[in-house]
Amino acid sequence: MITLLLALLSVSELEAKVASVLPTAREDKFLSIQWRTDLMAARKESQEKNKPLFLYIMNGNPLGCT
Amino acid sequence: MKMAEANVDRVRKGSTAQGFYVVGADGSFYGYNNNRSVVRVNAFMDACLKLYKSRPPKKVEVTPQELDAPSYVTPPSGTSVLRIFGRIRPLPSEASDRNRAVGRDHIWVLASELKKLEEKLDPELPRSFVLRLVRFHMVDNVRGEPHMWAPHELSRVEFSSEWIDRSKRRLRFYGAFAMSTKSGDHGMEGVMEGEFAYSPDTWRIERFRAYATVTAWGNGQWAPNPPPGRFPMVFGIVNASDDLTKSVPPQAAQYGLDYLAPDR
Repeated sequence: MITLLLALLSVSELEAKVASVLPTAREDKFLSIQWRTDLMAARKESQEKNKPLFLYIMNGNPLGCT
Repeated sequence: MKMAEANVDRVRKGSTAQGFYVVGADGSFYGYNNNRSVVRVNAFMDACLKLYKSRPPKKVEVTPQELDAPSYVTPPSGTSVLRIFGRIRPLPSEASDRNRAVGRDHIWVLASELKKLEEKLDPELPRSFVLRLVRFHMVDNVRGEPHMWAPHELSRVEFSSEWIDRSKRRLRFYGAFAMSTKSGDHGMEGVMEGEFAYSPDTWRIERFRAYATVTAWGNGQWAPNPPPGRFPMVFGIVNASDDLTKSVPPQAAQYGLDYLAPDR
């Protein structure tokens, strides 16, 4: 066991603290685009729909990190 | 990558390949842009679409083997996925705008780690889970690519846990951690508390909430311009419920770091 100088949060306090960090609707707006995460499936779909592929390439996955 | 090298000068010169591309299914290249201005991105897409229509790609076969190949690193079967968000808060008045962003990542929790909680009367968070949390997720990714902590950069990692209701597999945990680079230029120290519940039938997390408060300083190589001096950060962690989150691996897992066994 460790001794921590923590003012322990109640369940509702914890919930509120966590909620305060979550992205706002504005910050999550890019997720309203129906991004495809499987490149090969997207290539196939691109041909079927006769549309080009828009690739968003980052070192940190745009849908996951950073 | 071949397509990018063949068509984008900066990629050919060994600089970043990051950015937006418009391509055809056959690899035809229609354009590249690494500017985020809405006006420029819209103009870029319009120009690329026009080029696509004037020079459509050749028909190619996307083979069943290609379709079956996993796009990403995949976790062991039964892995639970959490979402983590980080912010610099309160934001120091002298901080640049990039520090207003929210950092994001996904966290994997292995079924084998949940099973370990049952081994003792008092639950003990598996060291692999705790180190994964601290090394790869207590990071400043608000401005971009974070520095992820190596084992020798951790100076304190102390977590404890207790059952809220053992029969319902609900527990809470507390933790304290501190880490810094060898030079001391970049570091973090903080505390976390949380609670979660899991199913002993599926060995998956059913609910997870955690909150961390951190004092950070400095920055990793790829995320410059932090607030000056020491600055406050907060992190919130929740269980993921959407398919998109479940399909995109944590950043450290994608890099092939010791994500699954950070205690090795």
